[in-house]
Amino acid sequence: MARPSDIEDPIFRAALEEAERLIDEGDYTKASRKCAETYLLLLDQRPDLIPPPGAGLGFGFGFGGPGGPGGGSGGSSGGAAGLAAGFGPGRAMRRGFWPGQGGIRVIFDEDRKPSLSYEKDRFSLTEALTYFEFMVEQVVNAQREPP
Amino acid sequence: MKFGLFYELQLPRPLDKDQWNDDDELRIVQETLEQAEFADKLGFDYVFLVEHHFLEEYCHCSAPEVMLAAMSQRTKSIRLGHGIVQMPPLQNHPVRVAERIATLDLVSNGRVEFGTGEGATPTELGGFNTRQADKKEAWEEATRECLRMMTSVPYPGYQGVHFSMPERNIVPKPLQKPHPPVWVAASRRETVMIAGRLGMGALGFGFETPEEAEERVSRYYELVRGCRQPIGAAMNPALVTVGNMMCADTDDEAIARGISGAQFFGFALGWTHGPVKHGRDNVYREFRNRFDTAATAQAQEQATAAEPEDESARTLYRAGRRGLFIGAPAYIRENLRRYEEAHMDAVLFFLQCGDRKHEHIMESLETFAKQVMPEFKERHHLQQRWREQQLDGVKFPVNSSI
Repeated sequence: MARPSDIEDPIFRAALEEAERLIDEGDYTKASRKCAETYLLLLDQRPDLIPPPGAGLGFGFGFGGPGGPGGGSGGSSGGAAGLAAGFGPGRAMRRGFWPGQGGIRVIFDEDRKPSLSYEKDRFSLTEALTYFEFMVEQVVNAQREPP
Repeated sequence: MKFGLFYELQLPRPLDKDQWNDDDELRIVQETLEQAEFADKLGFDYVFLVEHHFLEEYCHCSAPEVMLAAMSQRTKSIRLGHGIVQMPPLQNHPVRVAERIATLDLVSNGRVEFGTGEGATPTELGGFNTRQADKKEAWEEATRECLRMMTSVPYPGYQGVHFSMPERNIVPKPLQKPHPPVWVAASRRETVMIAGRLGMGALGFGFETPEEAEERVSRYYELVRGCRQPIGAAMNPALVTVGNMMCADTDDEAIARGISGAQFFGFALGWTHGPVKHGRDNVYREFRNRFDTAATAQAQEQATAAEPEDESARTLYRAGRRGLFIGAPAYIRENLRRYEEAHMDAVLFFLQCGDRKHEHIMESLETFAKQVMPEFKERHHLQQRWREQQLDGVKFPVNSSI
């Protein structure tokens, strides 16, 4: 598992070190927002990490449901590749979808340009930690796997 | 490494009817009790039960505290685990959770494992009007306070976001002090790390491979050592993973007995996350329309398919496949040794799923217990010694059954 000290890029390292500092200081809302903004920065620098259209964002369990593969509500399209268990080969998907259930969603326009949608004003310790751990992992994975 | 069972109480609808037969739910409950009793006699260490609501066919275990209490009277040694209690207060008020956990601990002579979680699907959360965006915070608040209720005399009261109450003394108190080992459901790797930071055991529900397990273990224990404020009064440093199991004399026999159940498990799991027609779906009929024969099921299993990279989709994919524990004893043993080498503390097995037969489950339990389990039990002291090294320097009390 990645650690902040594994991050080589100084900008990302500084951003996530600040997020960690904010968590230590108890400012979980600022830390959560910092992580979300850092995710947009990552996608801006690495557009190859942008999920394909219809992909679930951290909620990819639509396999077999009435929504069907590639459609439906929630993350049903994110589970489309899981159909490989019974529906033939699935398409490989980008890993590391933003954990979108905690109150910050990443949404994409027609050109797949991401933006943030905040569903609430205040975030808790575990929400901030979820975003922080996710981002550290994503940044380290990105540096290990060039586009 | 230790072993346990994991139950959803899956109950497919009949193919030829729209609703279950009158005694179907009675049958599945009684069979589960019998399996737990047998597992206890065979030496399994844990039985965990989920809590889900409204997830027809996928899970009929909506009152695990009742099931676990019944199991407590039919077993002697097996640990009785909540995998998990849904902690958002709209689903379970933390006072009621503290009361039930303590009472279960007393009726079982101190065998409770307190697994906690947020809940997941819109069907469940929506049934209680818990917002998806709030569930993680609600879990955190309720779990912390529930643990305080078990240890405080009196509990000073609380003014929170998701519940509030005045000073009261919550009774009874649990037998295990300061409280039973506490866990969190961890289907994502971030949550495993949060578990470490909060001093909780991680119930890994992501069907992690041995390689994934190994990469998480060292970081998890690093975070445990660095924990500054556990969520409870004692830590439970522990990592488990889950897998679908059917153990038979030959691989072919295990697959024939077990693969359809695993595929239904994955299919129904996916179904629960989509829009459903309450009381009117027949998930099993939909499943069988796509897997119309056992031969088709086996052919589908063998079909080459790319494993998704997305963590959630990958979990779903793995839930519906043969995985590492459907096979002959040799197959299962070799795969478990890989988890043992990765220092996984325990593996929990789904056996009851889909249309699997009770007698096959019982035979699987016995074959596994006699031909696979003993060597791991003999070596578990090595894992405990390794854990002691990992926990060197931890400043907080530890209450763990591992």
